[in-house]
Amino acid sequence: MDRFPALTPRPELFPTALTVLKALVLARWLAWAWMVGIVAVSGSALRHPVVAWLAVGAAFGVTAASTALVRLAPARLMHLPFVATEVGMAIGLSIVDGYVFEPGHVFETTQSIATQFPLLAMASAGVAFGPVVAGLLGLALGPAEWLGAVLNDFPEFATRHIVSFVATSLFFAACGLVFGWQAGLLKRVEGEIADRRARDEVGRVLHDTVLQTLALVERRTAATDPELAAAARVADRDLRAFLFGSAARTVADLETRIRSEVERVRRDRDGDAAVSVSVLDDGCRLVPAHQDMIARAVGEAVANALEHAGAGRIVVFAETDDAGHVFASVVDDGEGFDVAAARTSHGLDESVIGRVESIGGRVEITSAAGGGTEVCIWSRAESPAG
Amino acid sequence: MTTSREPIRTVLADDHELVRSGLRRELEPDFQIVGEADDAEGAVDVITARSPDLVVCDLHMPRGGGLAVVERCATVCPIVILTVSEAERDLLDAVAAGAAGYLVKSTPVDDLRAALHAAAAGEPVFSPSLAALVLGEFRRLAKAADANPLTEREREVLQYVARGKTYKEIGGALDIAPKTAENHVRNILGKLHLSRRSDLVRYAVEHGLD
Repeated sequence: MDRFPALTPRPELFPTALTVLKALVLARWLAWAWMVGIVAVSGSALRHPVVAWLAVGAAFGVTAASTALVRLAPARLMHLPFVATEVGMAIGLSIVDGYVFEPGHVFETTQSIATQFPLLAMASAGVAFGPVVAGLLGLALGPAEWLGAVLNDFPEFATRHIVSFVATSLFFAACGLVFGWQAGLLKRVEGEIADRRARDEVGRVLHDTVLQTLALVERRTAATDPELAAAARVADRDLRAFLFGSAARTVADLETRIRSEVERVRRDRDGDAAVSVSVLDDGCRLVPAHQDMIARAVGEAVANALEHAGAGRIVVFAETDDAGHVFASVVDDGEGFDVAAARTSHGLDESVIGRVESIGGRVEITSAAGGGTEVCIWSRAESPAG
Repeated sequence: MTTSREPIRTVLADDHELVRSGLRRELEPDFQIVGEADDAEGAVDVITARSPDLVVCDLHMPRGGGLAVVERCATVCPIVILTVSEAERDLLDAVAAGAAGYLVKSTPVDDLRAALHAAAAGEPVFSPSLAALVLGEFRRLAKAADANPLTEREREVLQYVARGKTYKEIGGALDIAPKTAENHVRNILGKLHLSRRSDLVRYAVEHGLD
């Protein structure tokens, strides 16, 4: 069974999330080191150095926990307990900042001991719970700063101080929104890529196994059991269309038109000829209605080969020239016929020649008894050279 | 095909037992199966040991795939890729690696036998869809390089192959010997081989350098 690759289940964490989480761990250590530095150099500016060092210890705990988790169970970094702890710590540090420093510190330009932890908490919440939750949590940072200022024994608040708290709230809310939005975007893109990969993988497996077998059944039973061969062919075609067809191409270009027209004709008829279609479209400049007309004419020529020629092999080829005009040919290895007589009896006159001439093109049919038939279609009457 | 000829000593490489047994039944007695392999390395070993006249090889196989077999054994004897893949890259890579032919597995039995006989005789054989792809590849090269790497006659011949014509029919239509048509195709594949083999050439072509 090792021919079948194991289909990998969708991981709980999308790959980029792991990278983001790792980056956050690094950022936490940097923020923590900065925090240690601030507390260490503040010296006499600290009223409560012990509390400040306890805060440093708490930050160390969260940072170390995130380091351990990213190695052992990275998904937990996106679960409520950790995210709530981190956001709570960020808010707590913002409050404690006012308590540990001498009065007047809060609105001075000296650094807060919370350093970048509020920002990291927003990123963490955004990755875990999306923009709305992270944005709402961000709003809490303003009141936290206010509480810190109260604990800092700030004498009285002027309007500019209130504005500062509101600005803090808005800033962190915006950070939460942006982080959450970006994380969501990443997640969606990665989801799409993962889906596509899974589909390709399924396609490859089916291609290597089921299509192989169908092709074999089709070929082996062509002579002995036409019904089984036809069933295999239909299954083969449908599976191909499902795997490589509709999803891959949505715009109806010349190739799609010709292929779908040939498929339609084959579906309606019993002939079990092998039909190969190749189209080289280097920029077809025909209007869509004319492309449809060419495709229909090609389809009718294939139908004719299936119905009247008893062909074993039909080759459809189409290409565009430098001016964007189309040349198409339908070649079969069937019994051939008298072209002059068949024009009317086989309905070639109307179905093929009439269609092509109505858009200003021309048709040439060459056929020899026993030597197969070729229908050549040009989308314009004159060749570019002549 | 005439039965008076010596049977063609053939190696089959395909990871599906079902496919190999099917092919064996369809190809004997014109083709004498002198070895089988179910992966690329096994195929290389068998080919080296038996030096057959012809190898029929699947593309998607364990341990290297058909391309590895072609790359390592193309000089020993003609290798025809027989696959379900109609993917452009697979076709072009196989030809570029030096495969003598590329056929899709849904090829009717009689056509398959005829094509393998031709391949054993040294003719390049492939499904018309490959010819169309090769044609398309050269157009892209030509567009990028602002010079057509195919001569007018080669382009003409290739177009006929893409349309499903035999070398004999092409010879008749263009007033040349079938052998000449065949040589044109061989040259075209040689050019493709060169153009894909060297990244340097490709880079130069893409950037219009000489």
